[in-house]
Amino acid sequence: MIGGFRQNMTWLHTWAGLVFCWILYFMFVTGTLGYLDLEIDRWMEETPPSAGAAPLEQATNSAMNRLNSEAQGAERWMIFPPDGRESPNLGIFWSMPKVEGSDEPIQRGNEQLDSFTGEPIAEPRRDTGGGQVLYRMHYLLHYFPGQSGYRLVGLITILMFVGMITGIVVHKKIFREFFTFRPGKGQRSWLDAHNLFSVSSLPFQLMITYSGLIFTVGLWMPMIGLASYGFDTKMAANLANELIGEVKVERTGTPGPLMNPMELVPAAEAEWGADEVSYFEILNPGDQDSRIVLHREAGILTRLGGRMVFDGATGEHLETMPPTKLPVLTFAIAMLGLHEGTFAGPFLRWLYVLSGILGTAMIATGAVHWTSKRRKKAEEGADSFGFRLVECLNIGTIVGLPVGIAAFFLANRILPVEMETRADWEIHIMFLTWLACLIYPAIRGRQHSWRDLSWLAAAAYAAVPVVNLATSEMHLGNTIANGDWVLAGFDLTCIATAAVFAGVAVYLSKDSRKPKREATIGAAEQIPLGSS
Amino acid sequence: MPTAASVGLSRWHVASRVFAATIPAFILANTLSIALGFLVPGIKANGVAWATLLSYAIYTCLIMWIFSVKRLKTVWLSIVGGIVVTSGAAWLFYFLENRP
Repeated sequence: MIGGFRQNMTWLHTWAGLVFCWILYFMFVTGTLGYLDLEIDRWMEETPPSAGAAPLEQATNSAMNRLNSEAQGAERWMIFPPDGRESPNLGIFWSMPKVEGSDEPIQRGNEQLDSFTGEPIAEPRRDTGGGQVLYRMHYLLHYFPGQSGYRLVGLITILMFVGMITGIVVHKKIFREFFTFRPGKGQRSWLDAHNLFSVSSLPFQLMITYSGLIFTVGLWMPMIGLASYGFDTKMAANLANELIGEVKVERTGTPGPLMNPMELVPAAEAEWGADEVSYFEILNPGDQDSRIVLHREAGILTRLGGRMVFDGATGEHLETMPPTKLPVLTFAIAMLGLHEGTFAGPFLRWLYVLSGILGTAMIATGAVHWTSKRRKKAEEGADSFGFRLVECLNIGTIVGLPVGIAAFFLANRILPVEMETRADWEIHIMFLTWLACLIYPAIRGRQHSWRDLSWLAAAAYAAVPVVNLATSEMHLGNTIANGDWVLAGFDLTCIATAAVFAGVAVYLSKDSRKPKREATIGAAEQIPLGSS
Repeated sequence: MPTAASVGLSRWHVASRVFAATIPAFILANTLSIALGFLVPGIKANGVAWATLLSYAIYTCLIMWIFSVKRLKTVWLSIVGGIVVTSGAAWLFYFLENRP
């Protein structure tokens, strides 16, 4: 390329950032909401607060009763005692053996139980995708067949990573610029804001992007493992087992007794300490040759605890397995754990959300900076189609997507409860609303669209708690009185979001009454290839 | 300050680099990672896992390099040469490891 290294990297930063920035923005918004997925689930399903966690012994007995009556002859049972935010209830899972010579898929089941009574948790009052559907869109997108959405996300994440690294490279004065903010100066202010959001959350953005890439190694980088084993697919598939280790046991077909896993807990606690047993796995329950595996609580990040393996019939201790044999795997899993943040308590969770919002703002300000830098030239007529397109996508996505998500929440409360396809229509309504917001700026023009859509967003988010009051028992009047801060928090967050959008709209209304003021660009700040 | 147009930098010139950065650089990132994986000590899975985890960083560096080199010819010769050399090295390492 021409120009110096920094100028070339600026060019790369601009284009790697711009090309998919609206999908990236979508990934950041839905990913940020993903940190609150279970809380959103509760609001959308109208789940009452959990009954609480029964003691380990009671929960395990409940699970064993249920599995004995529902899943005889299974190849594997799993019992997840209640454990905090991620699993407030008792979870059970089973999978049946593969039927020889049959193409039928393996039968699996899983249930959430009340840990005290062992009764299945009632179906949600409202059929809804809930917070899970938002969270899954973060990495699968939506309406994409098969794994194509996931693939596209991997590709965009590479561009994001290129954008991050080039972004760091082009900052000569990274610390000075961190303390520089010149508001009301048009293009210059957008760049300052972009720098401020990026630099203040840089460690988070680097972590989230690189760990995001690690999620997609299996999809985009399978050749490295495959080729290293001489393209022997069997060998490469064994890679994971070689890394983690697998408990193997052959089915005999002769029935045999099965111990209650609780009887093995003292042996495990003698080795690991009290309250260290996380969950149980039972292989070939009811067979003569069965195994009971006790899994240890994972560390904060690693998600892998150690395991102790016992004979299911006699309770003989067979093996103790370390969490992982290799530091490289600890590194990879710690990165994935940091990305998902399932270990985070309320305070850290909100910090995750804040970091996500900063990343969202980083992308939004970067995209707006692109247009503010080129406005003068575009208004003189050069390359105005591309410019208008970017501008419409900016307005329609940056404000339009949040409007769509508010519509998603409103649809959840307004669509009739008995409607069969209501879970699908919640999502269709979200995307249709976003689409309308994308078309609007093309008709109405930039100046008015930013303000109009901000008012719309404010109105939509303010409407959420009001509609909730009209359609549900779980409105602010009740939730605050009962101290149910998860559900109250949802409504209060909507009100706060409405206030922020209203503030933006008021600011934009004042701004548009003033004569237009765009700072002139110093020649030194012009980037040669950026305007091509 | 020169701009793209003023030095006659055509769209094709940029397109050529964009193409080099997508498919050929991706192939090079893979072959280079495979070769590096053989050099990591310890059990085989260890090297493969490290190489896989680093592959994205390698790919990113390659992309940045492609857009920073002055001459297009250098870009293409290095990428094609790199693929030949690293896949040759990977093949050699595999052969040495698996010889009877």
